[in-house]
Amino acid sequence: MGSYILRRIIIAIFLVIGAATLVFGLLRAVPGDPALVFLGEYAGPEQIEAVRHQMGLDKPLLAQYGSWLLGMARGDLGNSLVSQLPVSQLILDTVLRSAELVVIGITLGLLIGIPIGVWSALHRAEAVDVGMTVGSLISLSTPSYVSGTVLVLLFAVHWQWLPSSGYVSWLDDPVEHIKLLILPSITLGAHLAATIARFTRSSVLDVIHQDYVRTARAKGLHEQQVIRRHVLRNSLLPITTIVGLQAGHLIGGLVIIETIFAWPGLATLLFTGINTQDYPVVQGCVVVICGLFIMINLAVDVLNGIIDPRVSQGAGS
Amino acid sequence: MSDTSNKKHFSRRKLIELSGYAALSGVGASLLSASASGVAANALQATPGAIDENAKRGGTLKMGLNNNWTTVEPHKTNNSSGQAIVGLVYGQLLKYYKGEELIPDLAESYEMVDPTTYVFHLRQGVKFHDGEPFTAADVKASYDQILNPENGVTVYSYLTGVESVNIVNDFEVEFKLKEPQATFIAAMGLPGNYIAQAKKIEAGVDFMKDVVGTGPFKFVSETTGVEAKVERNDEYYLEGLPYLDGVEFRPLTDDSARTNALYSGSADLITYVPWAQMGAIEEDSKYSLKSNPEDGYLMIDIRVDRPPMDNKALRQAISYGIDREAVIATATSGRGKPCYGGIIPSWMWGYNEEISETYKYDPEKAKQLLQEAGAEGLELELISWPPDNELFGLPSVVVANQLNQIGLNVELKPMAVAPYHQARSDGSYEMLFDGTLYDIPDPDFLTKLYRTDGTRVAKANRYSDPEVDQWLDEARSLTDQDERIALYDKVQNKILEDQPIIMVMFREQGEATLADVMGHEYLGALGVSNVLLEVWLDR
Repeated sequence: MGSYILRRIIIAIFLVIGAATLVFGLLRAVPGDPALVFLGEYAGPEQIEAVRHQMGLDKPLLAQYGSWLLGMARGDLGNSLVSQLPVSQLILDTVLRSAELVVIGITLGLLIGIPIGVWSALHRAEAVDVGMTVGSLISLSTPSYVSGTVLVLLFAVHWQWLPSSGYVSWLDDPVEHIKLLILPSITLGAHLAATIARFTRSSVLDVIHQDYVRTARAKGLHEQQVIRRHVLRNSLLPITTIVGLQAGHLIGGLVIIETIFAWPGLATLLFTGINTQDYPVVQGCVVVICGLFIMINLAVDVLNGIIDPRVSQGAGS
Repeated sequence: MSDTSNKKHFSRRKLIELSGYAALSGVGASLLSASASGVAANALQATPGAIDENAKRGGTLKMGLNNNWTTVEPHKTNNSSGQAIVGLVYGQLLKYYKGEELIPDLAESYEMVDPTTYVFHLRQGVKFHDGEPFTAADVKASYDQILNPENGVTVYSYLTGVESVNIVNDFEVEFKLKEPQATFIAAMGLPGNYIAQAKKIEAGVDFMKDVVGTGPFKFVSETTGVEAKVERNDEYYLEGLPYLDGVEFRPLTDDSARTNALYSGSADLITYVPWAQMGAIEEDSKYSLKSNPEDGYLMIDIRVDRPPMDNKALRQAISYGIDREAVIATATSGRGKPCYGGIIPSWMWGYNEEISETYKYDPEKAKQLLQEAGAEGLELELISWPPDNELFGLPSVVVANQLNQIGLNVELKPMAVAPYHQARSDGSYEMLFDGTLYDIPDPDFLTKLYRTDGTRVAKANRYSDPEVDQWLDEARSLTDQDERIALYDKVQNKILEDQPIIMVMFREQGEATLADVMGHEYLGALGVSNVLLEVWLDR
């Protein structure tokens, strides 16, 4: 197990460097000049030249790439071209806010998705099952910019129970923080819940017809024990994998959710960075997101090994 | 807005005329000083100072901003959201106020000693928020920063004509210009002319944390991208002002998020109301919309130096072929006004009604001109933003469609922000859908559009006309407003004939508040948050 994780981590480092290099190249291949975007409409050539110099854009490309890689090796992601703040600080500030949203979204998705999936598998072809299939289909096919906006219109604009958008730190006002968290995490979680429910349902249906389940029943185990001990544990394996994969999806979906709810997270930082061609910020965000995605998938693999020892034994040998 | 335009027209004109008079009389500095101070005092009457007895004191105003500030450093702030915050904390020598009036702030008056020398008389007894007195040294040190191109301040482009800033004594500062510049005073009032403490600038303090000015509000805290807070400055030099206890700023960059924040009461004031929402806000008594229907313009930049767009008849055909009223009806929710002729808006001095209807929609004439140009069925590319974008995207779809109806074959090419900026700046386009706001209330804005080296358009679209250049330069060097107007008329007539840029419409822009936010007025690019000095909450 240990050497397996080590090998995966080494591969991950090369993957991150590869992704970073790709982004470095792509950003500079796109036409556009950060100095122009920064200065806005009226700047003259003298001012553009001065700002380009100040941003270090007048250095050769290879020198820019080299110094960025060297910096990254020391844990320094450079400074934002726009705000001149260290990118690592910007990312640290925002990544925690995004992580909070993602963790709560995934938790909600699991808490809603798994019971519904199990329930509807056990009541296959009954009204409950049909209802859940239709419901999850609707939830899956509603993009978050629709569901999020509808939630805002209902709960914030119409009933005025919750604030429409924004962010307040835990430390400043914990109650307001939770209020602000509700709508975005539901929007994020509802989508995930539908996916999880559908996978749980088919996974449970697969397992429920296995021989060992029949054996368990034949031993005279109580039905609830059969479900909990034998069915659920064995059908959870594909679900952890799905959650791992969905986490990548969630990071992408965050751009929309953070925008609708004015949640100042990592996706917003990345999005603003792209629009202003803030090279170091975009590069830093991609490195971090890439690293997170690889780590989540590594964690899922490790978790699968714990749930089902066959996985890690097979991989480790 | 339109009902007050006459008043504004008058007062701006008066200001310039008076300073013009000062220049003409050009004998003794004392006489100049008297008339120049007269100007300042005159402007002051229309401005803060008189306390509204009915105003309720207290409360915090929550302001939703349409873009993200990146910094609160006074001499690096270059977007409207940053200026909204910084503009409340720091003072300026002059600033714009209600009715787009230029009012004295840290300068009580100024005098034009000769056309290239201005002396500002500073307000005495003003204290920075840390208790330190404000003096001429602070002005000098601040302008050393503002005039440093590396800082990337937007107002820099209007002040490149400043040769030196010299301290005369503790309360007098002299600005030496390289050549006469009629827009100098107007530029000194723009956002960005912030005065910080000399000793802090010299010590190189971190201006993100050490935010100390002379403004009506004191800085409390800021988290970039999240929130900024300012609180009332009890020691403000205008006694009794401001009324508010504080202001909280929050970036709400998404149009729906911003309007929803207003509708749900999470924001008291939002900037940049999308056109599609203006009607609903205006009709609902719970909210109040303050806008300027001619706050800016939408236009098509044309690369005039190479075929096929070097053909004047083709450009005129395009201008006649745009049904501007239909653009407004279909793409901008009926907001804004068509621009058939001169680009100087009706609220600005220099407006010329005689040429306001030159390019009324005339498809027959357009087709005839196309025939003359031999351009029927011509394939052209129009660069714009994606069609879901309200500002440029949607209007450009309608315009492209209209041009196809007169017999052209226009293909829309939507672009992302950065490549679009690049194309606009280096002129790599045939036609590019564009637009901006009037960022200075002076017809000299034409220089950046039409002069050969004009940084906004002409440098990129290669329009170059020696006569236009000469008229623009001459108008900039004169102080007599009537002489200047005559020159701008010539410029406008020539560019109407040449059509190097095709004006589509005057663009409306505005802010919305909850109905109980009193004393609010829309100032836009001239100082987003300046009016908060006298805003109060009726609750």
